Amino acid sequence: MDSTDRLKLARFLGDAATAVPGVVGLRGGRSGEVTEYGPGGRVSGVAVATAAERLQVTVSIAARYSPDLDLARLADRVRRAVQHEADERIPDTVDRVDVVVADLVTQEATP
Amino acid sequence: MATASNVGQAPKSSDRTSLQSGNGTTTIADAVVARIAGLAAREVDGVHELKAAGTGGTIADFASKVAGGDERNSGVSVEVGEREAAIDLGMTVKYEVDIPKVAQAVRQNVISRVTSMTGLSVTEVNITVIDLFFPEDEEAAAERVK
Repeated sequence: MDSTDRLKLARFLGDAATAVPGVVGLRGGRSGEVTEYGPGGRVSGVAVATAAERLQVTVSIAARYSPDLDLARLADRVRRAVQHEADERIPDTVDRVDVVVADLVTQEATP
Repeated sequence: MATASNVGQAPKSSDRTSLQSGNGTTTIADAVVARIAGLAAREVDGVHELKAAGTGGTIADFASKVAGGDERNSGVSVEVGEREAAIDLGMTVKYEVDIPKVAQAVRQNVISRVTSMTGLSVTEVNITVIDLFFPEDEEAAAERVK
């Protein structure tokens, strides 16, 4: 998988993560730790690593604060959504999705 | 950072990972734990604001600002392990409140929020009341700058 494909994949996986209710956005980290770079662009908050021809994905999210927030559950939903998206596009390739809850956003802070 | 792996983990956290279908870990950033603790503390009536305690705390806040840290977490410091968290809070309280009662309510709310939201067990919440807040002080200050 070349870097163009990787970037494309990262975009789809990032979209799958942000589509999960309770996820406000992706966070690449202050120094871009979780960022996929490629020709003509980058995706902050998603990193795709290759390990023995298999892929490991890390997504780093910002969650919306609510009184009944359960971050472990939210992270599991994100993991499943990202895994599902990956399996649709490239079956049997991604065998691990790590989720980082990097930020928490309160209602007042979001427009 | 708190990391919970669903591969070969302690039975205690099985309820956290039962919903997982694929493989992978969940990591909750320290800043997120601090943010939850700060929001929980502020919810308690009688708490005026969270503020770093003492000179050391002021320096720590300043250093965090210089380093581009999260200003929203001023007055909160956390130590997070794999399953447990310890939390230090510095705060000013409104004058005429029962300080021990407010502190106890803060401690309970912080423990309940952090536990339910992150799954971490909170081993301690240390609270430093660094000052009293008098509403009339703020009014007087507002008068002066008119």
